[in-house]
Amino acid sequence: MIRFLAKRLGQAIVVILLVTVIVFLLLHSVPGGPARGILGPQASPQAIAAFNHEHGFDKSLVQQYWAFLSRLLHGDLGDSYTLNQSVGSLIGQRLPKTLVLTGLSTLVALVIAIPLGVWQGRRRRGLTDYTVTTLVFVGYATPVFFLALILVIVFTEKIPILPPQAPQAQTLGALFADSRALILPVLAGAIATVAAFSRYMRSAVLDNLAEDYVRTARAKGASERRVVWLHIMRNSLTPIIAMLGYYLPVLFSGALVIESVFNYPGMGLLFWNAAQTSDYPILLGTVLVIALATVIGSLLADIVQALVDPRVRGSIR
Amino acid sequence: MTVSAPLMTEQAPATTAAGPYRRMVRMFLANRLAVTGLVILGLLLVFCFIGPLIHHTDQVHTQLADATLSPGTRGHLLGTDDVGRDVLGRLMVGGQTSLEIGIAAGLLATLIGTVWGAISGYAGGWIDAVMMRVVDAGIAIPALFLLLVTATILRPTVPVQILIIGCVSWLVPARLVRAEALSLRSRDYVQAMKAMGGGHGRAVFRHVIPNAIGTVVVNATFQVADAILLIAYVSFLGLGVAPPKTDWGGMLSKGISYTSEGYWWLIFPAGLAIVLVVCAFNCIGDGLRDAFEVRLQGR
Amino acid sequence: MRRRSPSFPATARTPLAVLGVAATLLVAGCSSGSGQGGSSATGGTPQQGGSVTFALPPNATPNWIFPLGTPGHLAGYNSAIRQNVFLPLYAYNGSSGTVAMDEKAGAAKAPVYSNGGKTVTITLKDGLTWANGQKVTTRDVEFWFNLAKANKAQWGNYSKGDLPDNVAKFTTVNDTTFKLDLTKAYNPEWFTANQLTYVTPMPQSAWDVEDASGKVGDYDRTTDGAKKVFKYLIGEAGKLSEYASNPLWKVADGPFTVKEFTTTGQVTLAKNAKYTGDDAAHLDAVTFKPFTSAQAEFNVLRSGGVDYGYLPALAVSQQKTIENSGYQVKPWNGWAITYIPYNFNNPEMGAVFKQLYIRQAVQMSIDQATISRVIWHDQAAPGYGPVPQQPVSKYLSQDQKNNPYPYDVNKAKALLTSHGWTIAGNIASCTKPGTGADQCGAGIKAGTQLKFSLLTESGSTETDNTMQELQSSLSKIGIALSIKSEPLNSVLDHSPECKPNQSTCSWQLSFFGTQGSWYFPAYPSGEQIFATDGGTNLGSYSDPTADKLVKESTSSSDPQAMQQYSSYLAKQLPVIWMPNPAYQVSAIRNNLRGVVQDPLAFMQPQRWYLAK
Repeated sequence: MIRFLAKRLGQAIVVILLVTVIVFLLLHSVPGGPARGILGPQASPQAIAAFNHEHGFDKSLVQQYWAFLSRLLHGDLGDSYTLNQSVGSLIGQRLPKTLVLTGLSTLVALVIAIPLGVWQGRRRRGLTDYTVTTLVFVGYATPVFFLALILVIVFTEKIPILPPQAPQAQTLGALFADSRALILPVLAGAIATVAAFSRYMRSAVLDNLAEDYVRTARAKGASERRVVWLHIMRNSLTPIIAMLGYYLPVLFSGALVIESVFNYPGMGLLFWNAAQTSDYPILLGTVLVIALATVIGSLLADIVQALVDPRVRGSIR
Repeated sequence: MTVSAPLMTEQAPATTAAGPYRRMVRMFLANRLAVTGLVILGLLLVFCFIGPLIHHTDQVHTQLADATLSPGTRGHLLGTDDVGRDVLGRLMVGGQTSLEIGIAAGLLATLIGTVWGAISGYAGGWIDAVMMRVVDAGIAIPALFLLLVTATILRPTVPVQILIIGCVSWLVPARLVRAEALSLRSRDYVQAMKAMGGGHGRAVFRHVIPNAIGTVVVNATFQVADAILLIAYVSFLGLGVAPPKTDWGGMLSKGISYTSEGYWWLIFPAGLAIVLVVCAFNCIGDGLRDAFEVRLQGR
Repeated sequence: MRRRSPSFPATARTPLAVLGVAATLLVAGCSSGSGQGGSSATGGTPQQGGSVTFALPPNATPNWIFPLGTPGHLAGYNSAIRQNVFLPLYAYNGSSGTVAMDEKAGAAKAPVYSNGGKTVTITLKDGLTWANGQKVTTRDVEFWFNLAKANKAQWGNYSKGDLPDNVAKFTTVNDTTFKLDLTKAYNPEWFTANQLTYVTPMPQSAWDVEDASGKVGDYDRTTDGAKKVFKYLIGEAGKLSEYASNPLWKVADGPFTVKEFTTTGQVTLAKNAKYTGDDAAHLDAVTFKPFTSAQAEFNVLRSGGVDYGYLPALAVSQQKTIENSGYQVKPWNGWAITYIPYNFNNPEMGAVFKQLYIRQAVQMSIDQATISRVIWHDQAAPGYGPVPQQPVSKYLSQDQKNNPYPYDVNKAKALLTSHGWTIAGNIASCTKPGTGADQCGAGIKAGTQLKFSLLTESGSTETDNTMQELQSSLSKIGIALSIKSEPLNSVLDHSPECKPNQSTCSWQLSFFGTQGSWYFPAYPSGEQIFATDGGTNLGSYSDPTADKLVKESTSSSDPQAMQQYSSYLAKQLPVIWMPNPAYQVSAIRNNLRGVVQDPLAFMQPQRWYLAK
């Protein structure tokens, strides 16, 4: 287990390094650089030169990358060009909000998707089956921004029971105090992911149904209910856990759309605004945080997987 | 009553009568959702690619005098958009773009992913390690970032969009195919080929990939569905194909900005079209997967 | 700079430019005042006190208070806010019906020019004092000049040859009067409106310190000392969260002081109890509230959370709803022009753009009136030349006003065909190269096709549609236009002034005017944008006559100079003239009176009051 952990950790570090290289090079290969946009057309050539010097754009790409990396190793993500704050403190303010939003919607999605997937895995073709499957597909097939629009029209205009905007509070406590305003954004996020999760669950259940241990359990006279909910579901959770780790960037992209539709100042909106203003430090910072979260997520997923599923445990070398 | 009963009863007659492929077809056709998906897809293809031959409209020039006419006015069945173009005709050309990019990008992603995953899984060792770390890094970077950066460098034409979306979507199939390849690798015949010094390329393309074909085909269908959704997002974020071309996502997001005006015909036809086509591909993929599972079980 | 946001989810597509064009340019004006434009109702019984909330545009985070802004700290609202705390020497605005000097809002009496425009004598107002009790004196102005001179490279508004370079000598006459000897004769109007408006007396008695010890001296009188003082002050100015508590910034001479200034951009100005001038504030406090998107602002506006806000462009249909909830809705027109520069140095199309007949054909294919009405819902007005057309001013020539090139596609097409272009398959190609009267013109090879590429700002449905309309009408005369949209800042990054052999010169046409391309200072001369050596002459336009006219408009005192310039460039088409959009569509609460929507986009909140 310790060898396995060490190996996975080493891999994770390599992946993160690779990410910094790719992201940094891509961003800095954009011709022109951000100075004119940041300073405005009025800026004199001297001002642009000063900006480029201050932010190291006059150095070679390798030198720039090295400077970036060494700052990064000291935990410094740099300062935003436009928002008067360090990238670290901006992420500190925005990340918890996004975590609340995506955490809640993922939770809701899982609560719906896991039983649904089990049920679908054992389905019989029939009207109910087709209806449910169709509904799940429709949820999956609706672009989040369209879904959000429909939710807003239905629940704030046709049946005005919910506010059209996510809570605007600064602190997490106040965020939850305004929990009614969280319903629509969480729902929009959950609907889109239910289909993806239940699809994984279903195929995992199908795989497990064919396994020997199910037959054994049945032969031993375990009740059908026990077989399904205890054995099959437990083992079918593995792919879901594995997927969650890798699903973070997707969740983030979804969060970006939801945050902008419901005007919720989280990481997604921060990233999007930075993209509009060519605020490179913020772009680099947010992408790195997400990459780090993904890598840690998949690492944790591997470990949890090993704990949950005896078969995987055996395969860890 | 056993859990696998429904599968057993349905395929029982077929098992005796036909080979695995015919059984697959039957299995697929028995799935009503899959068949419906196929029919919807066919109808949409006809609508987008044959439709303009019957319903002639000018999708190049704007007609400001005719902006936002409601459906039924002056021969515009679905009204006109905010610069006076016929919405029905626009749905057809928009659909062409969506389907072209979606299908091509989905297939491209599957192709890259399959080859990458097969080689990685077949080779094993440090080659596998390096190739999979690249995949991990790719997964860890939000596709949106890659889309944004490439969009500032390249002009958004249809081939460019296909390339970009294909290149950000190949990671999942790569992981799937690698897993298949890993399990095949230990199979006797591949080991035998390796021992006999058979060409590696041959082993990958003649054995590893064909054996993973079920996974690949099923995944390709889902890839196409996802690619169509992805271009809708890309257009929503303002990075879509350049005018006068458009796609359903572009039409939808533009329509949404007129929500408060009540121009429903700028929103719902395009939105519905996206939902329909993505659903259709998902249904087909679902049916295919069931069918392939039957083939595997029958082996 | 305000980004327009289409309603609802399209906020996602809304680029939230923090330091966009207009904002940055506004600062260049540095002249403030009240405008005629959309002034709110006056009358009602003025009520002393009360507070008002003003909605800032998305991401227009104010981030500077010190009168000399370093690059990156020129966002529009910085100077609008600062001018209420530290009075500039002169303020310009539109309160008189046109853009003119507003003596009440400045620190000095009108300047007196002598010696043929080479000497200016300025007298400060009597009775203005700093909050620490000291009088505002010529020493405070000298302090500004010393710091600006020694640190001009770090001053964001510095432009070579302009202030402080053009002041040869600063002479103190007495406590309230000083004399400036200029390096050459300038047009007094230009010099006062576009140069002296930058000058802001600064409290030498409190700020002339080199380090945190706070010991005041005459350090600014040596270059070295001035550098140290400047370094210390901009260091302090970088600490936004201390603006409300740092004793330095308490020494104000304007009608307001800073009460709150957060890093997220929320600013509250409180009435300056120690203000001694004749333009005291009616209100107790004004809060400038930041928003992440125009839609967010609109939602708050609908619930009555702001007193002075704005409508996202496409929500103009909601005007009635907003009016019914107690607001008046008025466009805020900017002292600006909107245009698309041609890149005359582009290796492929530069030679084509240099042909006047081509530019005429392009201009005649643009139906500005219909674009303004249908696409911009009348929130933009056609513009035909280099001088802002709203409000009408004495600078506007008849030629520009009457549109020398009215919309006429057939005439445009004839211009091309009569100059050796053959239109086949919707694309014109040059079939008669050469420089004769019926030939394509210098530098254009046979077979050249009219294929233009345009870089445009994303995030606005109106802009998208305008460009599609342009594409459509140009295709009718055989010009194929390919469009690429990018966020505003990228458009600026990707359309720099360039030489033909540079890789950055691949752009051909560029649009960055969703809220107006160029905001002028009070005197709308074009030395920055249309002179050969202009700092923001993006397309490298170069014309000897234009240079001469620009020069006359800034250095001679001939009142006709501006009109001649306006007329010449309206006909020469250095850029494609486009409809000029309003700065914003404001919603002002009915009982908030005395508001003037200044075309220069400054504010005079001291004159706002709540009616009973």
